[in-house]
Amino acid sequence: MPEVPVRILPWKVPLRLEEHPAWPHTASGRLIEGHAQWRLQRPVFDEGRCTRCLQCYLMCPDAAILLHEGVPSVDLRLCKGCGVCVKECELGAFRMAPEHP
Amino acid sequence: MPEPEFIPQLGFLPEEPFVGHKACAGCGGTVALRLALKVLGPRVFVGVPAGCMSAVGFLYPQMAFGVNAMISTFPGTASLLSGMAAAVRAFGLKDVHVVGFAGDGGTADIGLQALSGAIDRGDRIIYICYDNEAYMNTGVQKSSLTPVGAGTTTSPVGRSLRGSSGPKKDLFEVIAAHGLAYAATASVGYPQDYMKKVLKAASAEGTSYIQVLAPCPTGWGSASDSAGELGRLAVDTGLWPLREFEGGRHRLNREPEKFAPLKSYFEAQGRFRHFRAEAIAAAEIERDAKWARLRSRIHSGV
Amino acid sequence: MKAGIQFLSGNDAAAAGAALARPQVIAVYPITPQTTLVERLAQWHADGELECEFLNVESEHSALSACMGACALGARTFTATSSQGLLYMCECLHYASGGRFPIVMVNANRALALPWNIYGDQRDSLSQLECGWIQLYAGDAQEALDLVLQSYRIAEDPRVVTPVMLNVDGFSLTHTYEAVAVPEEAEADAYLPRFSPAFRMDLEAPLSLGFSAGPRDNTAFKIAQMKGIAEAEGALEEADAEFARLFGRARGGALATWGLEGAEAVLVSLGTLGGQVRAAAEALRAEGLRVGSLRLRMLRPFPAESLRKALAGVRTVGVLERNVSTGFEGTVCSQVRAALHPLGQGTPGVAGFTGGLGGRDLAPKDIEGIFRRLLLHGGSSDNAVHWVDPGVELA
Repeated sequence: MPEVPVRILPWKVPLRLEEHPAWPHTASGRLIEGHAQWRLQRPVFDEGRCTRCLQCYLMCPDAAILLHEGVPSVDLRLCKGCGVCVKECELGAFRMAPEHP
Repeated sequence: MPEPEFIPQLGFLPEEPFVGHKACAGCGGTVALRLALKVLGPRVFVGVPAGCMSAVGFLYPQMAFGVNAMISTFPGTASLLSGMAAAVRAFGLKDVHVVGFAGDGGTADIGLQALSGAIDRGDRIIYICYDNEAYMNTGVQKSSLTPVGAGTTTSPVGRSLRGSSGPKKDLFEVIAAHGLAYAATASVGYPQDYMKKVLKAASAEGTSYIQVLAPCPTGWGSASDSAGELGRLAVDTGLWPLREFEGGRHRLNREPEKFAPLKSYFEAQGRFRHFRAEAIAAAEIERDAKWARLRSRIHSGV
Repeated sequence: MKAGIQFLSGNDAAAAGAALARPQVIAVYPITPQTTLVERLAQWHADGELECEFLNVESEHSALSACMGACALGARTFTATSSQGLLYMCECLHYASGGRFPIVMVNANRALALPWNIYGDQRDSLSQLECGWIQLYAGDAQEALDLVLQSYRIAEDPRVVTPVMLNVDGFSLTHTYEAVAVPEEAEADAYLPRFSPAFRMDLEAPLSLGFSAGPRDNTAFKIAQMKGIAEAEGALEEADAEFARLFGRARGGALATWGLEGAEAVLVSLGTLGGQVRAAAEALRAEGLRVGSLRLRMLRPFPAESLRKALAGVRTVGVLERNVSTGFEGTVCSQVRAALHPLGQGTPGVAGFTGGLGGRDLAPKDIEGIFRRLLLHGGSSDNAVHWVDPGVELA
């Protein structure tokens, strides 16, 4: 269960040939940006309602649910505001709020 | 109160195997990929053809796959995987999985030949078809897995023709007819069932195939939060039977006594917006006929 | 395949070379006239003599695709094809070169449909010059065997990292027999060590391969590819020199020349045509005519500088190929013209000749006739194709 947030590392646009990979292959798992700016709404989590069934964690398309000792929290760098967590939680522990009130 | 249902091997500390991709908000396909990779663990070699998952996961410099992964040619997913599996054998690697994720177009249409060849050779690969029922990456064009009547950009709902005309190819039957080691259908709406099937596929001696329904809100014209819900509804209405083929025999995972109403499934999706009572009735008849065939085969012990 | 002098066909020899290279994965799909090559490999594998993973694939596209999958994990791979099969895997050709997978593939040069024709001509590989593969052309069976081993050294060279297409003329080389020296396995191992990949999928350091590069970045990868393939001519010369040191046989680099000293007319060709051209040149030299032969062993990267050095000062250059680029002139002719153009004032006149399409035989008198024509008329003032014994009356 991910307790450590994914790393998003800064990246400079290569200006010289040597700064690009030599071929169209590179190390896996390197992220240079999140997708917070895609959001029109964001999830709000009520821990009191959570039974730690992990359905939200399983179903988040963007792997934006982190678990700390089994308790979910949302990684707002990655969340695109799709609302699946709200739909999937049978306990109503999530609700969506506008991103730009 | 829903209890946690833990799946063995769940978890991929500390990195996610598939994160940071550029998929649409609410994409069902990414759930299918992520859950399968969670179950399979880090010792994998992944092949993904041209399609949504590669288009959103390999945009230099954002590498959304945290494991060994390669984009294959569109027709060549299964043959790429065969080559990987051959190298695994050549190097004597143990406890690794060669797994591919291709869409319905890349599997049932352009990729069918290579998949058939891989199964024929019995190459030890796990082939997962994430079925969103059209060529979504190129903007929602009809594939052979597009259901009857669904609107796509190449089978639009127009004045004379009303959406896709042919039946959805029963690809699962075609694959099972190869007599492969293991095959199953699944749905992202039932993630535990899907993950158990991925585990089974991982231990199959030979080629395994999973066709997982992966609702696409963009292409289906449904709400961005609906992938799981539609994934469940497709199963509960009987439109997407959960089945397995194992040890040369077919099995139905669920045989509901009563199906959920088709209307609730169709009215949640823009691609079926034009469906009226007649189209829904026709779909019911077809669903019932299919279930009759499935049940009769199971119960006759074939 | 036993070591020592064997009486082998071109296909047998190429297969022997492939087996000696110890590929870890071989993908096989049959097509005339490559078939006997893969049949040899299949027999040796079935006899336990060739240890490898042997995949019977369901198409040529899958053959190359499987090779890429295996190569991605760091395995040395081999496949072979021809004609329609080469075209069927066309997408994968660009994929393999752009992805920098050092695969070695033997292509049995054969005509392209339509009309259908299974016999030898050079249209298949010449239609794929842009695909990014190193292209080599063998002139005889010994060279075919030797070049398979050298191709792996070139492809896998860390400066190059580019796949190699080794062309052998369909039927005129694949199915003709000569005495070939087959190296001992230990000798071949000394020449060609185990594949040490420049990159591979590693469980400890996972890679994402074959990513997308958009408008901002795409060119950088193509420039890198151009730099890599440009090293191949030098790598061929080095591979040949090392081969000569170990085996006592040297063929040189991109060009095989005969009689260039003081030649007034030189005829350029590929593959087995080179042997015929040389025989004609020898016969005409004996008559006192100053002619020479130049066989291109490497077509990609195009050895432009070497060609200019060899042909500067020659009055007329003819190019004879079993090919034509429909709508213009012979492909090799265009390449030669373009390479010679920078000579400026000293550029030889060039005339292009197309013959032998669809396996049609070219007789010694046909080739001698080309030389006489070059001596008489010099280069063409246009891009007209001169048809050699087309089998039908023209005008």
